[in-house]
Amino acid sequence: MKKREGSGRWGDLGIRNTIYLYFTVSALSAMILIGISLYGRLSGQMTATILEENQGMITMVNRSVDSYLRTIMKLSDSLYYGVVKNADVTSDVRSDVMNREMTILYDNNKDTVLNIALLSREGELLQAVPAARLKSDLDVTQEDWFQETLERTDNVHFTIPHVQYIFDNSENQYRWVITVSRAVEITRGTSTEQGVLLLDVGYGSLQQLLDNITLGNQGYLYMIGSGGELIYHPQMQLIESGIVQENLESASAYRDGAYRETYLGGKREITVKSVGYTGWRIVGVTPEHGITLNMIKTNLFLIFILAFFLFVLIIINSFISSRITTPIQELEKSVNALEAGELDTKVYEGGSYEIRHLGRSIRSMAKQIRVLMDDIVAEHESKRKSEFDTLQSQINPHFLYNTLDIIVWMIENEQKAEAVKVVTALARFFRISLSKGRSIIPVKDELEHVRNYLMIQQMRFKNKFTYEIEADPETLEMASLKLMLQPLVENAIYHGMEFMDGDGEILVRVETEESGLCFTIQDNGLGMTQEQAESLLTSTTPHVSSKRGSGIGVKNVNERIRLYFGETYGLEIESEPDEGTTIRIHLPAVPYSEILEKEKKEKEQKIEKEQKAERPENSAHTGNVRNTSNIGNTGNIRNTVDAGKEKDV
Amino acid sequence: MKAREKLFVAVYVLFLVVLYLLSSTDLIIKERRQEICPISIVADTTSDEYYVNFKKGMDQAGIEFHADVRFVTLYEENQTDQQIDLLMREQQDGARVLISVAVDETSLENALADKQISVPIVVIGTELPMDKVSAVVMTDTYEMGKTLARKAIEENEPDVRFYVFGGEKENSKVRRFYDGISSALEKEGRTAIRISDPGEGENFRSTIESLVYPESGTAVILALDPKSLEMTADILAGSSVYQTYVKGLYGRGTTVKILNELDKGIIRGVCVTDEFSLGYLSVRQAVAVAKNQTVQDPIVLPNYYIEKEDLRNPKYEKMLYPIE
Amino acid sequence: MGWTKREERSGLGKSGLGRRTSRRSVSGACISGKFVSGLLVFGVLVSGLFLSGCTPSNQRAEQKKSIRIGVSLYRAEDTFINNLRSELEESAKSYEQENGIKVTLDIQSAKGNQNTQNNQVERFLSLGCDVLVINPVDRTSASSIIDKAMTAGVPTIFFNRQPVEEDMNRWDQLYYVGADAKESAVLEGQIVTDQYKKDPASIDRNGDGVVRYVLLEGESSHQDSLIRTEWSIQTLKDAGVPIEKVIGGIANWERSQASALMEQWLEQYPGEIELVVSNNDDMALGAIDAIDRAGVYGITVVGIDATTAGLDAVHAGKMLGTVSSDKKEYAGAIMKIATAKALGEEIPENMELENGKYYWSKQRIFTEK
Repeated sequence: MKKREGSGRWGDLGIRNTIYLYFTVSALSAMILIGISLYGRLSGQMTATILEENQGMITMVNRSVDSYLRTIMKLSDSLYYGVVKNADVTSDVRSDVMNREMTILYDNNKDTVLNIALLSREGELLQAVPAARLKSDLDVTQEDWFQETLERTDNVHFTIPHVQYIFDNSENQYRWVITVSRAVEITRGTSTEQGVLLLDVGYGSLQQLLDNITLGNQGYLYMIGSGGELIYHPQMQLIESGIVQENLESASAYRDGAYRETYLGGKREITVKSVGYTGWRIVGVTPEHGITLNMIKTNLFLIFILAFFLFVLIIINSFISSRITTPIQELEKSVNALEAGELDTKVYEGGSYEIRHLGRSIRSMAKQIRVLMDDIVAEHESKRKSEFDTLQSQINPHFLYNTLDIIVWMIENEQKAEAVKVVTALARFFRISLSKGRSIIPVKDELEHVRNYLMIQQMRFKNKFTYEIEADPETLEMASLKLMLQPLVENAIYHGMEFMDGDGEILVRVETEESGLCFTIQDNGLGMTQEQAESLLTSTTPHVSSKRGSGIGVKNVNERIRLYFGETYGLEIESEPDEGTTIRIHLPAVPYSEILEKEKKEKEQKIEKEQKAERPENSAHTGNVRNTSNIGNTGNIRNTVDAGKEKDV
Repeated sequence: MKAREKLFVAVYVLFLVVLYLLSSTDLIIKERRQEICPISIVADTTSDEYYVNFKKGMDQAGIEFHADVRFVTLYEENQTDQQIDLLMREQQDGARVLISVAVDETSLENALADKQISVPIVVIGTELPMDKVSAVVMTDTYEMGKTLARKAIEENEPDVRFYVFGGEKENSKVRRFYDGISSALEKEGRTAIRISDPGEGENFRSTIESLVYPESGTAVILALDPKSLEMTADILAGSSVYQTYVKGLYGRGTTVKILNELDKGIIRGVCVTDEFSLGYLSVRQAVAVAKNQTVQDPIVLPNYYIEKEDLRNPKYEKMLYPIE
Repeated sequence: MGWTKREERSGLGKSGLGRRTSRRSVSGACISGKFVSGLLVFGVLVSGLFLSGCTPSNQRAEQKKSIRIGVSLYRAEDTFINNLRSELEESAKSYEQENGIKVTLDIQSAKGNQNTQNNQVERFLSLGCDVLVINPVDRTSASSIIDKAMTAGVPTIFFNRQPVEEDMNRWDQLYYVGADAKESAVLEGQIVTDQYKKDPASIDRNGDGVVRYVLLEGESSHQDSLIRTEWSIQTLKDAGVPIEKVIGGIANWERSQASALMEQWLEQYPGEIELVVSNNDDMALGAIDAIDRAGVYGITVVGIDATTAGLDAVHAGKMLGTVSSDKKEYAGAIMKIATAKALGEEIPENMELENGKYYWSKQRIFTEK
């Protein structure tokens, strides 16, 4: 398993997990953000709504208490203005009528009013509906409310709730009432005097109004009098006995409005609203605790929703990232395999369009690589073969035998001087042929080589031909390919000179031209047709060799030139039958010293590379290095040539 | 990875389901459907005549604390074993907590010691707190007796005779009350004549009648329990003559009748406690005990001495006449 | 199975690729299939638990070792009602002792307020009462109580204040126990008639051949007041007693009101009043209170109910007589029906129920003899 290169930990996550992570995180954070803001909003909304509702409730209660009190006051008014006023209490008839009228009013208001009574200023009970008696030992005039009522004649006086005590009661019951009293004008005969009209309103009727009113969020309301006394409270009895506490002192100080207070460790919202006329105030209490979308269960539900969405998200994520990233991963696997050198692996093709395209491209690239690699191999093969051929031709066995024969004949014929010449020439010829294994030699050496050859051949062929070698002086130190001229001269001799009989002429010439060097080998031999000339360069048969030659064909020379110097250089053959043949060789003009320097550098590099290659691993690369070393200088020269060319241009 | 992923998914789904059950259904976290706590109170009387205010407090607490309170009376007055039988019966019947107004606190304690009753008990008592019960709400009848006797001595001539009227059957309350009275009287060096009556008040009547002799001097009667107080008040109300010889009638209790008599002047002074609170607190304590909450030490309710003027005093008004 | 199909379809050429893709989708299907089936299983489990779970069981009601009766009185302070209530409690106790079945009586006073009574009925039903015993505040509003009782399937016994017949006929589990108002009135009249026949002068004090009476009436809305008023007077008339009405007044069954009224009348008509006919004992006692206070003698007073105080007054000679409905029997009847219904049994054969619903308590005259 290949180790992943990564830009740190996050890079190592891989594309699938990265998408996964980013997607999930972003969706989750979006959800949480939305959730929190909604929650906060809703919660705030709920709080506001509850408070609003409570306000509304309190207003409603206020109105009903108001109307309740109003009813009572209207009753009091009716009793006074309709019944009592201008009714002579001393007259029996009027008294009866008064009683009946009062009874009607009482019957209509039985639910609210328990007793109606008319008292004189001295405390005498003048009328009572339903029938009632004052307690025998009670002096009404001593009562606070009585005195206050008579003092403030314009007001209707309300007491706080109390147990009814002025009337003689049944043995086993007591009643809580609120006494509503007003000063009235009683007619006695012709005079009038002050009196008190009293209504005992049953506390139960007020209780009914206010009981069971719950404000949202466990709130409640109660009522206090103008002096801060409790008129009504859902837990009135318990407050009195001290079991429950209520913040009455603060409440009595509040004006109408909404307040916030802290009582017994809890925050509460207080709303105060006054009821008309009596100075009573309704106090609504709403605790502030837990106006949250409360309870463990709701919170758990929220968590559940969150988790559920997360789950769905994960599933979707998984699905999406698989669709996208799995093909990439498969592709990566294929690429890994390719890298490892298995060029035959089937490259994965699938997934989205881009990835399929990538797959296809990689596949064709792999194919190309395979092809190229095959090419390289083939090339190397052919190079090796050429080299081998060259090597073999360097030895040139046929020429050697023949020349040795000549030497022997010469020696036998006492032509010592000629024999020495030939031997010397032969030695020189072979020495340059080898040139210590080098492929590139200076032009002068190459000329020397061909000179020696020609001399020998001339002696062999008994002066069948003449030759001339010309060279521009500047060309002498240029680089030339070894065994380039000799094979061509050989061809010229064997194909061109054979039937010349002493008139044969061979010219070898070197000169510089625009594009580099030009070697010319000209003969006036048989010549060939243009087609034959062309086919010389292109024929696929190994080589058109004469058994007496070096064995390297024209094609070979051409190929070698092109291999070493580039495609732009090479041979050019002109020929006319019976006229002669001219072969031109084009080479770049590279000074021989440059070549030497380059070789030196390359040697140093090679040593370095070999040292590097000893460290692990890259088998393929080492293979490549090895390959290049086999080829030797070939690749390098090409580079220099190209570089040289570039320079010229 | 695949297998691991599947495992993860499975675990996660399980987690989701559990969360769902927790949050949206009643299976795991039960919405505290206000469980109504059944509580039974076994009194020491055959009727609830003298427990009216107590029952009001009891009912109020029942509504507030979601308790189903049952008030059970005895078949016969002051029968300890009956009381224990009833307590056990109530326990069998499913009461979560029992409240007992002990007829006799010692025997109740013994019964508890015998582990006959296993359900927690709250006792409304007058004696010192007991260990085996879960909570105690007390009225100190002993103190009541002392206060009453003291007031009676203060308000009357030094030479009046003291009579103590009471029922035949005794229970803890009466005993403690009597002890209080006696000790206060003793302190002042007075004695009291104890008259008990089987039930209809004949003994009382005859005793009072026996006072109606010019030389016999005046007397002050202290009644030991509300019933005797009422009976005596009736007798006195029947004839003004009696009232001249009986200078003061004192006692304890808060029935409307007693208060009316107090108002009329037939009864001079009464010792009272806040019975509404007594009922309320005893149920509250019982519910707390049922929920295994920590209960305070015995709650002792104060007692007050009331005279006619105090009836209209807002401080006492609500206590004596509870609003329903 | 889908996998094999896909493989066939893909054929040879694409086999490598085809296989890969088909494997992919099958494994995908595997996960989602597994997931779905897993969720299904969970869902089934959950719903199963849900359905089988917790139905609140009413423990006490099912053990028929105890029965619970909810009683609502129109006004607990009404003496007659109060007496009846004590009898009810006694009756319950004795039933308990005899049968060993615990009887819980939940007695509440409606304080004269129909709403309060309705709330009490609701509370009874929510606490799981087996039977309701209702003394309706407003007999015309009994239908809402009947509705609630019918919905809850709880038999209801009305007493003392009779709902209208149409309401009573709505369900066969409704009963009424009461004293026939007419009968009580007739008997009341009978008391005076008998006395008059025995000794006219004891009634007609001033001997002028006319018996002047005042009438104390109960609540105007109560049908008993009307019937009693009508028939007591009618009985006297029919018996030939020469009565003459001085005045009448409504004292709403209350002693204190009657007392106040009587006081007024004594003032207004001094020496004229010879007879007080009262619709009930409480009011009669109130009249007696006034008479005592005024220090007047010789006025005959009759009442109905035979409350404890009333009986005392009769014994003391203050009241001529009263009509007693045997409260023990009255309460006993209520108890018998209630317990039978609570236990799901039939009503005992020996109880005479008119139309299968109405039980009339026996009444008799009670005088000091």
